[in-house]
Amino acid sequence: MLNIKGLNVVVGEKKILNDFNLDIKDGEIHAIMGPNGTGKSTLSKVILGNKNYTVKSGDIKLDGKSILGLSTDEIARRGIFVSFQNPISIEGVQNSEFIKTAINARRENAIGLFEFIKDIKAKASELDFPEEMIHRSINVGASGGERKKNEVLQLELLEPSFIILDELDSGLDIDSLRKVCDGINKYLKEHPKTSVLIITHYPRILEYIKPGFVHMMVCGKIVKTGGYDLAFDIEKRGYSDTSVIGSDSKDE
Amino acid sequence: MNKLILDNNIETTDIFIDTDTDMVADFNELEKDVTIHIAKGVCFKGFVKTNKTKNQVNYLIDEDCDVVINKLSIDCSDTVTIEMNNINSKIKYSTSVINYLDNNYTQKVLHNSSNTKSVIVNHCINVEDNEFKFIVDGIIKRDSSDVNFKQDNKIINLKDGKSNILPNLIVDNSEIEASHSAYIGTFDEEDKFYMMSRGLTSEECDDLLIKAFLIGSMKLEDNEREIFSGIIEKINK
Repeated sequence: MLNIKGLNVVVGEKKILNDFNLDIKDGEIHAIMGPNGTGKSTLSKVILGNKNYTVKSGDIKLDGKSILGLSTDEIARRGIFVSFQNPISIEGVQNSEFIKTAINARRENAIGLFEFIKDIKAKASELDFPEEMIHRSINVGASGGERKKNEVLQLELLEPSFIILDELDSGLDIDSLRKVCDGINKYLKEHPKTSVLIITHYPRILEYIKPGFVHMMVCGKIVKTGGYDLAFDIEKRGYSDTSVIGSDSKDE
Repeated sequence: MNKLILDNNIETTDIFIDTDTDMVADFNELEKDVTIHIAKGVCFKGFVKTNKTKNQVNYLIDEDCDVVINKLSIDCSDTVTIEMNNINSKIKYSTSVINYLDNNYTQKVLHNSSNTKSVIVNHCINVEDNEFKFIVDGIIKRDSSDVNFKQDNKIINLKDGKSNILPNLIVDNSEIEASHSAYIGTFDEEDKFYMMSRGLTSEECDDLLIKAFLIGSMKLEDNEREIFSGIIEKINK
């Protein structure tokens, strides 16, 4: 599915990702945990081909093919979806028109209006996403929780094969978090080959979407990989505790 | 509600409105002076399309009026003067311009009376490498208190257009609220990145952003939105 090998990324003179390696196979769920400013969110933007970051060396492959150099929209249409940490608002661009255009960008024949409205209303209802927000400008006047629900609504409608959840739990209360995670788990059950990369500070979200692999990221590289329990070990001891990293630490 | 339809066949230069009115105006390659007198207590709504015009249009607004004008212009060098001549009136005037040639759009708002409110929104998409200028004057006289005046001017250059905004506020009374803003640039790269991250091409993003920019803030009826959208969708096609 997604293979990142020897990735070195800079912004200006500053190195953000440092010989970064990660291999995620079909249907796997991985989590990356790390302190602020360690490059976790940068990673998702680099995968999406954001031009603010310069890849000095290394490669990112999706299903065996390099996606480096592709435009952001091409990468998205190949099946990668990022649920952003801070989804922006765009005044005047209607949410439904935006999502419908995104769906049609993936189809040969445009989706019928009736089918689209039926789908979006049903999925919005499952997420407790207010129906009037479907027809409003993207995220204008929306709370943090509504913005996150809008991300997951888009995810469910665009049907990606690789999902990155960048701090999905920030801005969500416990009920909303459970609701959106239920939605994602339902999606994963219906699309078992879909892989997920969860970027988070805290293990709370991992109780709802359980990863098979947890990576600890410090200074732009993965310093330890373990199973689900590693997340709670990190929470207990913190990122600076060398006993968490351990003497056998190595890049994934 | 009275309906007023204006087009190139307009004969009179002075139009008197004394009852609530919906105006639909469609001018094409016209150069004419028109004055619209809006009488006391009237609600007046204007839906205006202009193409390659050089009109001088004056709105003379009396007491207790509520005026809303939504205007879409292509390649126009119009001059619009709004005179708020009596108390308790308000106007929201939204002008959106699609510009391909060299043009100036001039607007003058005179608050000649107290307790008057104006919201002026001027947005332009400068499509080619041409010159476009918004010249917007807000004038508040000494004896006009409790005036609220807002103007928002933005020009998006799709290429290397030479755009300019001259927002002027001439205020001679301290008991007023006034603000003006001016922006010339391109669409926000962060907005485009977000939209492209959902699979929209750069051109599809531009189409949605242009439409949002030009008519997103206008309160339009469905049929009016459809007419303006049809014009906007032809940009760059």
